[in-house]
Amino acid sequence: MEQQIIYPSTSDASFKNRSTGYEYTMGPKPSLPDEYMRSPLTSKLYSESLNTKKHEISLSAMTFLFQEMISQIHKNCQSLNDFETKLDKYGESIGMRLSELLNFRSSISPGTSSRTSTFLSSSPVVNTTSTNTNTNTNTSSSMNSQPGNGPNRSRANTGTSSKDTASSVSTKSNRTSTDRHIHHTQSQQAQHTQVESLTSQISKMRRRDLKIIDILQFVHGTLWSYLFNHVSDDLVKSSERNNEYMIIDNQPPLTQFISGSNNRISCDYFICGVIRGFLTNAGFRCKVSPHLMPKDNWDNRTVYLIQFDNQVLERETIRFGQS
Amino acid sequence: MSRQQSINSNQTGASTITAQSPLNRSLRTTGEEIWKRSERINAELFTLTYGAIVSQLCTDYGRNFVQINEELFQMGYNIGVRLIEDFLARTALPRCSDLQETSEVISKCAFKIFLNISPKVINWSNNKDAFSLLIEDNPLSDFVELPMDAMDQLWYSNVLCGVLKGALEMVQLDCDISFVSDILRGDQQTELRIKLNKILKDEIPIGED
Repeated sequence: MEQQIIYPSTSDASFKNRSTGYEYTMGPKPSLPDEYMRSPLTSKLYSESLNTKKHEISLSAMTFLFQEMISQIHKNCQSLNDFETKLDKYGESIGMRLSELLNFRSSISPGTSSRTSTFLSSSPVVNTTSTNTNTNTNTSSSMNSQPGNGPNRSRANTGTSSKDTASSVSTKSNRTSTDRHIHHTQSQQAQHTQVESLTSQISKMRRRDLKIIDILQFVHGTLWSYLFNHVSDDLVKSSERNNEYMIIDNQPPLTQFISGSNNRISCDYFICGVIRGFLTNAGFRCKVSPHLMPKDNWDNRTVYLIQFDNQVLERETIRFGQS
Repeated sequence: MSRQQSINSNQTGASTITAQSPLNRSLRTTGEEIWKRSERINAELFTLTYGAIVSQLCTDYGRNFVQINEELFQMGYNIGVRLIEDFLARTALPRCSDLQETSEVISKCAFKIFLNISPKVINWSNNKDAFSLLIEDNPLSDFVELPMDAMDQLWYSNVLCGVLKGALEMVQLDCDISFVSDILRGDQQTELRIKLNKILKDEIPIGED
């Protein structure tokens, strides 16, 4: 800790304070000395987080947790504004992650998602499957021949999860193989079992959404079905201001048990945070606020009003012309 | 209503229940049927929300993990005292005759209908007053990797202990509940220990006969 040699060129001294988790000057916190003695975690984090397995829990468990989260925030805040901002922050941290996760997930080529990954599993090495192309079998056999170097190199090759790596491999294999495994033989040590990159399931990365309308479609469709199992009930552009869009949910599931429409609407800031985090992380800075607008039989019908920053509109005009 | 019934019903004669008894099987089916009927939501949203809560606590308490454990436990406790109502209303189960039955209800019904998992009940103490739940596929800890400094102190899923504590206390079981090991801390398995201290007396709320 005392060997911080390179300081960032800033007069701000706050970075010297011990902050959370991540040492500003050094990157992730260094390992403790006994780190190497620990047995490696058999975490499925790196192998299966892209696989969409339909895991569900009961709505009540979720709402209990949500309720407790709200009362936790409520206990520690002074004003309504404070409360809403905090709840929004919680949502934002989730939305941020989802924009990455869902983008990767929608890039997974169909047919490969059901495959179980063998990364970090303790099972012995499996032969490469016969459908592999020459490129891949060459790779894996060269890895076979040098088990000592294998682990590091294969991590470097496959762990970077870059779009380029994935797509270049797919070009070599003439884009024909749908079942491309890159298996690497590892040494017999426990932590060096089989490594398979998550990205081996992705042959072509989904294009990033650049237009406002495209990213909103993604929120309305993919994000909403991911969160709530259905697409949102409507996606509307404001007729008065051209930076305003609305996503409408007739029956917001999370806040449906909260009484009092004013209380409820404040709690909807959580979902607003998710939307905002998602859009901001995708490069669309915006503000999102919930509005209660009952209609027909839907007493809880909520409109999430999205107001994009001017810079987003300007960029869109420059890039795509006046729409 | 159902809670009232279960509280007021007398303790039936204790009969030893083995894993193959009909009651066990029916508990499993009860759990599964209720799970099928209940409304559901994406578990990952739950996971991410919980993650956001824990990481916010870490910031708020300046990474004082002992305090964070307590706070998570307290949050769980608050959930538990309310969740038991929901649980009894859904299942309408009668009062358990002994702790062994309780353990089965927790694993096969409670965990099943709320989190869609059924932890194994293991490591009974000799005098049958304590057992462990072996939690596999803990939905709270998906996507999670603890930073080095948290690994030795933080019980990431401590909210579960609180929930069980609160819920069991509401059905007159005073228990000590804590995690013994957690996969996130590099252990082989996630084990949650439940030890029964005493059975609380039924107390009539003030103002009622």
